[in-house]
Amino acid sequence: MIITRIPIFFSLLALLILSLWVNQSSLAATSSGSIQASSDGNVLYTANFDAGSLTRTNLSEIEDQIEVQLGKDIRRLAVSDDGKVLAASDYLSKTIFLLDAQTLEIRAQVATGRRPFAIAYDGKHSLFWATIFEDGQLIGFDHKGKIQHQLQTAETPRGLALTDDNRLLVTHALTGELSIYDISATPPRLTRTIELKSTQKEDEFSSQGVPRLLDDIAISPDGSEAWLPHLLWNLDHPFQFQSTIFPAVSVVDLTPGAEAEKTDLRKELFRQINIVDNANHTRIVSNPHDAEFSANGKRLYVTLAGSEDLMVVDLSRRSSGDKKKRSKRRKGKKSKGGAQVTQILRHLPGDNPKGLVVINDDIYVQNAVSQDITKIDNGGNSTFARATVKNHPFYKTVKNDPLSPQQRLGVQLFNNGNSDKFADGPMAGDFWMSCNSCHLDGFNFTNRFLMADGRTGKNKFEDAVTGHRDIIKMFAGAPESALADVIQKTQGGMGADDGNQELDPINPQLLSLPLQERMQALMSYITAAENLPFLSTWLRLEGNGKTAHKSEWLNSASCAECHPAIFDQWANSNHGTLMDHPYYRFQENYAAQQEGEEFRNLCRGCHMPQALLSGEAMPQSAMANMHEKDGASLKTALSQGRPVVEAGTGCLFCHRIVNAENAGGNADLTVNIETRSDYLFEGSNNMLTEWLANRMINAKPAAHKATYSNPELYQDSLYCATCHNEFTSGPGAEVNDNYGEWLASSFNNPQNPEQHKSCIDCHMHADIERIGDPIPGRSTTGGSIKENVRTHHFVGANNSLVGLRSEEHKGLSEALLKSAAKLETKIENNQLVVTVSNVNGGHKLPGGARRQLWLEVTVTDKNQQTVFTSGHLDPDNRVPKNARKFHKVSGDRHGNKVGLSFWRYEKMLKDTRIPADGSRDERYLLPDNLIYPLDVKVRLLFKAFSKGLTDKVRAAFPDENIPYAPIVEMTAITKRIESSAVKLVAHQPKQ
Amino acid sequence: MSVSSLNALPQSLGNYWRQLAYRNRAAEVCLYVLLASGLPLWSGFDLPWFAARVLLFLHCFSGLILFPVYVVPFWFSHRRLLRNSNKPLLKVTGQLLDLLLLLSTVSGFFLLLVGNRGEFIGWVNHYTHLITALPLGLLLMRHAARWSVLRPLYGLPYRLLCRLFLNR
Repeated sequence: MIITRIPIFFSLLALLILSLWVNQSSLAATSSGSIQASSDGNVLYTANFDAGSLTRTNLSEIEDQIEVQLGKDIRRLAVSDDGKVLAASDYLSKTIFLLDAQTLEIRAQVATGRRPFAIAYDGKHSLFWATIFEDGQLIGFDHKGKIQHQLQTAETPRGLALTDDNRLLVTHALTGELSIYDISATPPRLTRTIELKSTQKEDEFSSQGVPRLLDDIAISPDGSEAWLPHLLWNLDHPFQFQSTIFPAVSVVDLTPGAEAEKTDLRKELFRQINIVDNANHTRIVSNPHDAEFSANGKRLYVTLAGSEDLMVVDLSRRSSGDKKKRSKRRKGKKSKGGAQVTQILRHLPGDNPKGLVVINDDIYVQNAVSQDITKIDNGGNSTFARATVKNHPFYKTVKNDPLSPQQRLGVQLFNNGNSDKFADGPMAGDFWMSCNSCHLDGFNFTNRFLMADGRTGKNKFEDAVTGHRDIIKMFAGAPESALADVIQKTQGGMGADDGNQELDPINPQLLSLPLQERMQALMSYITAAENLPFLSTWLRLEGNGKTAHKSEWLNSASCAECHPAIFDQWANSNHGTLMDHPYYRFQENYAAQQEGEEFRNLCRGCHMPQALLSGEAMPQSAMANMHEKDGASLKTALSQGRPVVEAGTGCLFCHRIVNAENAGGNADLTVNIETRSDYLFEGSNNMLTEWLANRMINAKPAAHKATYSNPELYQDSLYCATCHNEFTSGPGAEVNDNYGEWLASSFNNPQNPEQHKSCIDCHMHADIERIGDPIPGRSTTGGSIKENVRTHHFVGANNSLVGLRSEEHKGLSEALLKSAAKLETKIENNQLVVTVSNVNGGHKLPGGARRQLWLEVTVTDKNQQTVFTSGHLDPDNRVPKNARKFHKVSGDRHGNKVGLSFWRYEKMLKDTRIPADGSRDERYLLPDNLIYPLDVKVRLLFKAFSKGLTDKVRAAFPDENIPYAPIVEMTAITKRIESSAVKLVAHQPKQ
Repeated sequence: MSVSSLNALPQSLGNYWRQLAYRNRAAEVCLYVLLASGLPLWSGFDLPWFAARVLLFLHCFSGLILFPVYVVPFWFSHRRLLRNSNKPLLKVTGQLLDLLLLLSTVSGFFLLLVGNRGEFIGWVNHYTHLITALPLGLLLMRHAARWSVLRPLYGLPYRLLCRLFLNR
C-alpha cells in the first residue's frame, strides 16, 4: 500500500510546486520599458522612439524580424502575460496602439491625452496601465482598447511599474514624487505619495539638487525595493556645468503600508557613484535612464544615456541590517550608504543607450539614436564579475530611418553627453550633461518646470535668469554661433572644460566647417515641428508641415455675415487688425536691427501669428493702417476674393487653437486648421459658392460650432497666458507673468464660482461696470440668447490705439481703467501717505508693457497757496522723472536699463507695480511749517505710451499721423486735513 | 404664324401641364435623392464629417435647384387629382403627402435661406423638417407604388432571401 502511494505523493507534491511557481510568475512585478522580452526570452520587442516604429526580433534567428511603422515617436511598450497582445505608446500622437504580439498587426487604437508614455501590463485584471505625461493622467484599458479607468494624477506622471501585490508605482518626472496606487480597488486608489529627497543646499560644494527626470522604475526580484534612476537639478545658482546636473539612483522601500524612500541609500556621484580612473579622477556620468536587476537581484544595471555608459551597482555586499559589530575599518564605508557602483562600462558602442533588458547572463542595451542593440555579457555571478560588450551591433532595430542624416545627427547631439565623441567640439565638458538633461524631450511644456526650478532661491532683483546667459544674437541672428556658445558656457563643451588639456576653448563666432555643420544639424532638431519651428517663438501649427498657405486661412471678414457684432468688436480692438501698429513695428524693427531679421519671429509669434504660420514674409510695407476702422481692408479683400495675411489674432487663428502648452508663454500654443470640420466651399473666393457654404452652415451649424469652440480651453486663463506671459528665449527670465499674478490672486478661485474670474470674465465682458454679472446677448445673428455673451472688444488699458477707431472701444477701455484702483491719503509725521489699491485687477497694475501709471499730487494750504506738488506734467508734457510711477524697470546683466531691448533682461531694477489684491504706499515729505488746514488732491493718471516713445515712433513713421496718447484719470481723491481732525471732501472721478 | 397654330400653343402647354402630373419619374427620383441625402444627416446616425458635408451639399443643392425644377411643377399639376381622383387610398395618401410636402418644403427653405441659428423658430423648422422626412418617403413609396421608379426593386428582398437560403 505504502509503495503504491509514494508515486502519488510525489506527483501531488510536484503539482503543488508547479502551481506555486505558475502563480508566482503570473504575478511577477513588471515595469514599463522601451525594450521588452517575451516571457520565454526568445523574442525582443523594441519601441523605436522617433523612428516611429516597433520591432519584433527573434533572438535565436535575428533575420526573423518584423518592423511596423506606427506613428511619430514610439516610447514604451508592454506585452500581455499570454504573449498575445502588445501595447505601444506614441508620445506625439496621443495614441496607444494595441497589436498582435506575433504579427504586429494593429488590433485597436486608444485615443489618449497628450504625451502617453509608460505602459505596464496588469495580469490580474487583464488590463494595460499607461501614464499620460502632459495631461497628468493614469489610464487602464483592456485588450480591445476600451478605457476602463481614468484618473487624474499629480503632475507629470512618467515611469510605471506594477508590484506582484497589485500596487502600481508611478513616478512624477518633474516634481520628484512617487505615487503608489492600489489597483485592486475599484476605482484604483492613491494610497501614498512619496516626495523624494532634495539635496539642494546653500553650500554649492555639497548641494546636488532636486530629483527630476524620473523615467523608469526597477523593482527588485524579491519585490522589496524600487530603484529609480534619475537626475538631480541644482538650478538655484547660475549654471556651472560641474555643479548643476547630477546623476542619481533613489531607492524606495516597498514594505506594504510603509513605503518610504531609503534616503541614506540614494546613489549619488562622488559617493556611491565614485569610480576613479587612472588619473585618480572620478568618472563623471550623466542621464541615468533605465535600470534592470540581474535575475538573482545581486546587481543592478543602469544605462547612462548622456555619457553613454553602463553602470553596474553591486548589491551583493549590502549589509543585511544585522546589528552585529562592525570593525572600525568598515564603519567609515557604511556611512556611504549601502550598495556601491562597482563598474562603469565606459562608452558603450552605439549612440544614446536608453532601454535595457536582462535575459539570464545577457544584457541587451537599446541605443535610441544609432537604432541598434548592444549585447553585453554580465561576466557571471561572482563578486568580481565584470560586464563586457559581447556583440555590437547585435542587430539593427530600424530598417529605414524616417529622419534625414542631418536630423538624426541633430537628435544625437541633443542627447549627447559623451565628451569623447565629437572630440573637436564636444557637447559637454567631462561627460556632465546633455541638452536633454534640462530640456526633457526637447522644447515643450516641461520648460515651465525648468524655469520654475531655475527661479528657486533666486531674487529677481539680483538674478532673474533661469537658463542660458548672454546669448549671441538671441539664437535667431546667429544660430550656429549661439548654440556653440551655449554649449560652451552651460555644458562645459566646446573646449570650456579646463580638465581637457587636448582642446582649447573654441571661438563660437569662428566655427570650423565641421562644427558649423554640426550646429546646423542641432538647429534642425531644435526647429523640428514638435519643438520650436520658428525658433524665437513657441508657436506651432499642427498637421502636415510647418506652415499652411494663406489661401487655406479664412478671412475674418467672412465671419461677419453671421457674427457682425463680434466682427466689429474684434476688428477695432487691440486683438484685431491693430496689432501691427507703428509702436509695434518700431519695436520689431529695433529687435531685428539688434539681433537679426529672424528675431522678428519673437514678436510675430503673438502679434502676427498668421504671417508666421502661413510662411509669408509680410514686410512692414504690407501691414495695415492703424486708423482703419471696422476691418475695412479685410472686407475689401473678401469682396475681391483675395487671400489675406491678417495682423493680429484673427477668428480662425484663435478659434482653432487646439492646445495651450503651459510652457511659460511666448505663444506656446498649437493651431490646427487642417482637421477642422469645414463645410464644402467654406472660405471660397467665389461669391456663389461662399453664399452656398454659409447657407449650409446656417442650416446645420452643429459641426461649425463644435469645430470652432473649445469652451474648456477658452475659459481657462491659460489660453490667454500663451501670449500674455513672456520669457526671454534662452535666458528664461520672466518678462511678463500676468498669468502667474492671476493664479496667485483672489480672482483665481475655481472652488468658489462667484468669486472666480478668469481673464475673459473681465476682458470680454459686455458691461465693464457690471463685471461679475452675466450679461445676456447673442453672438450670432438670429441665434439663441446666451446667458452671458462674451464680447470681443478685448477691453484693456490701451485706450489710445482703440480710440483711433472706435469711441465705444475707447469708452470701455477707460471704464476699465477707472474701475481698477482706489486711493486713500493721510498725513503722518509730516509725510503725505498715498495708498493706491488694486481693487479690480486680477494681475499687477499696470498689466502691459510701456504703460505710464503715476500719481499727481497737489497740496494747498489754508491760504490756497500750493505748498507741494508731484507728478504734474512738465512744460513738454512729459511725466517728470521724479514722479511716483508704478512700473517695472528691467536691467541687463550689467545692471543697466534694457530699454527697448527687453529680451536682454537679466535682473529687475525696480518694480513698483501694484499687486492684485494689494496696495502700495507712496510717501511724500511735506515742507515744514505748513498752514493748516491743507487740501490734498491726488490723481492716479494713466497714459498708454510716453511722449518720448511716441516721438521716436513718429520720427520712424512720419506719415502715420500718430497722436500722443491721451491721459486718463483713473481715480482721484481730495481731502481736507485739519490740524487736529480730518475732513474728507468727496470727489467724483470725471466720467 | 396661322391662327390655328396660335390656338394650338396654349393647348399644347395645357397638355404638357397635365402630363406633368402623371408618372413623373424625375420628380419622384428627386424626392428620393432628397430623402437619401437628408435622412443620414440626422445626428442619430453620427456620420463622419467628410461624408456628412458632402451629403449636406447634395441635399441643399437638390433642394435649391432640383426641387423647384422637377418637384414643384409636378406637385402643382398633380394636386388637381385630389379633387378628381376616385381611388380612396390614393386620395388619402395624396392628401397626407400634400401636407407633409408643404411642411417639409417650407421648413427646408427656411433652413436653407435663414438657418437654424439657435432661435426658437429655427428649432421648430429643424424638427419639422426632420420629422416629416421619413413618413413622407414611406408614403411616397406607397402612393406611387404602381408606377414607381422603385418598382423593379419590389420583391428584391424576397428574391435575395430565396437565393441565399433556398438556392433558387
